[in-house]
Amino acid sequence: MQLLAEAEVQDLQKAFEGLEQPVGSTFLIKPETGMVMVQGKADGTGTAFCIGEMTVTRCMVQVMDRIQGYAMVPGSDHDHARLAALFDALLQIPAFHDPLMTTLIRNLETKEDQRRQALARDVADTTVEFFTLTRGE
Amino acid sequence: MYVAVKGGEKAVKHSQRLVTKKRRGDTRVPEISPDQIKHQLGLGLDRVMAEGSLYDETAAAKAIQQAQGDLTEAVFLVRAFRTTLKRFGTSRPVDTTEMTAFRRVSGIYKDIPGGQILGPTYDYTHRLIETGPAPDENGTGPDQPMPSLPDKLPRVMDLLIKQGLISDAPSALSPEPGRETEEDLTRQPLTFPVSRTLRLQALARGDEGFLLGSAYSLQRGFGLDRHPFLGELKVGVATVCFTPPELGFEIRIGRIRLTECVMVSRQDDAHGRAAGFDTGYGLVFGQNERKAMSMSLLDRSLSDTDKNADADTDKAAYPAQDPEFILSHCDSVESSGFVQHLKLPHYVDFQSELVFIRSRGNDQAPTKGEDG
Repeated sequence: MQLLAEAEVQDLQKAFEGLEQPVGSTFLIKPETGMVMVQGKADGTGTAFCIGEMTVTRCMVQVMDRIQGYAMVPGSDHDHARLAALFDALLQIPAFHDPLMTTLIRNLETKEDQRRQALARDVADTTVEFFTLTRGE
Repeated sequence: MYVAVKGGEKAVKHSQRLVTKKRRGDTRVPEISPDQIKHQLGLGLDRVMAEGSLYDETAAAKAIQQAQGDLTEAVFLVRAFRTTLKRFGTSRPVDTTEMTAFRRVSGIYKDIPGGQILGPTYDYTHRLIETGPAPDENGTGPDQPMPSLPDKLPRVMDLLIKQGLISDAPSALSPEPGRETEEDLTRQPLTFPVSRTLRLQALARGDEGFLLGSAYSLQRGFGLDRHPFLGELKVGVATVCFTPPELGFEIRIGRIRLTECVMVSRQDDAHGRAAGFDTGYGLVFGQNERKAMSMSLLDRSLSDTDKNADADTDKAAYPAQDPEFILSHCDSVESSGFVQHLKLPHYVDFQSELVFIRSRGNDQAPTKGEDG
């Protein structure tokens, strides 16, 4: 669900267009933008306090009249929420699960790995290495 | 006599049109897009999200564009936008110990476990305006073994606690650490004395300039008689977890950039406490180091209200130690609204001032244009 929530909407759209058979779905909750209050902890571990809200969009769909899919994605892109909910439903259906895992989900995982690796590389280069100068003797 | 005056609708309409034209500027220059602002003016975006109290990059970018880069005005736009949105609920308090840091420095321990990670910062730049084309940063260096991301950096606070150096770890005293709180400034008024929960929220959404100036006043001697130290400053990405009521179980709804700061300052053995370090805490949306540091200095100074109170007046000795002074005046939307409302017509109020002055014997003959 996190992968779908953080995916770029183009990737979801492409995967949707690439589905072998068209999938009809009905909205149980139409895409709706709202907020979630984000809390932190005083001193990192203590009492909770409100930092501020974040914008999210939620959506719930039903496919094949029985399987429900849900998504809550950051931001206010309704298409993103709709597609994420749809794929959440499809991933629960065996006929769709395996092909999607090897295409869409693997693709999203690869992208996420690449992002993390790029960040790790950038960050590692800026870690300070101290050295001590020996004086005297 | 009170005379209601109406007028100016046409002028207002034209003024609105003119500001749109002014914002667009010279049409021979390509227009910027919110996407460009999001990706190239990231720190401005972070400030608007923090003070706007809404983590929404797209809204913040649009606000900055619409406000012509006036960040305080953009904060106002974001605050107005958030009032149009429904709140689905409250997240589980984010765990900053699990956050993926891309910058982490400590001013007190050189060999801090996990290392001093400088990350992207202007601290070591020459502060010279660069001329010529920007260097191409896209090329990657030679292949090296892949380093791992610092996901769970040991906290400096824990090191200090382990060594028994924290004189009063405030959070350790709290009855239910880590549970969600009901206290929320957007749902209740700010009243005094104020809890630390509300104080931290007010500071987290406060105006960076005001917090910075107030923290600076502390350091200059208006409240702090001792040098504070930067225990830890961490900038990174944290995951937000939320349980949607319609779902019933917790999901991860996305990641946000946060800046976390812990300041320490020496506390001598007095007031029945052992000598040790006092701490102050700051946590804000985005990469906002100046603000997170100011926030932690103020969190500390405001928590010492009793200690700092003057024996005779029971008031804090310095402004930056006075919760009411700092927390009632740190909101940029409130303060800019109240200062700027003076631009609105005050013709009648002013007339009453004239009447008063004249009644005191200064009754020269009225001059033309005074009665408008």
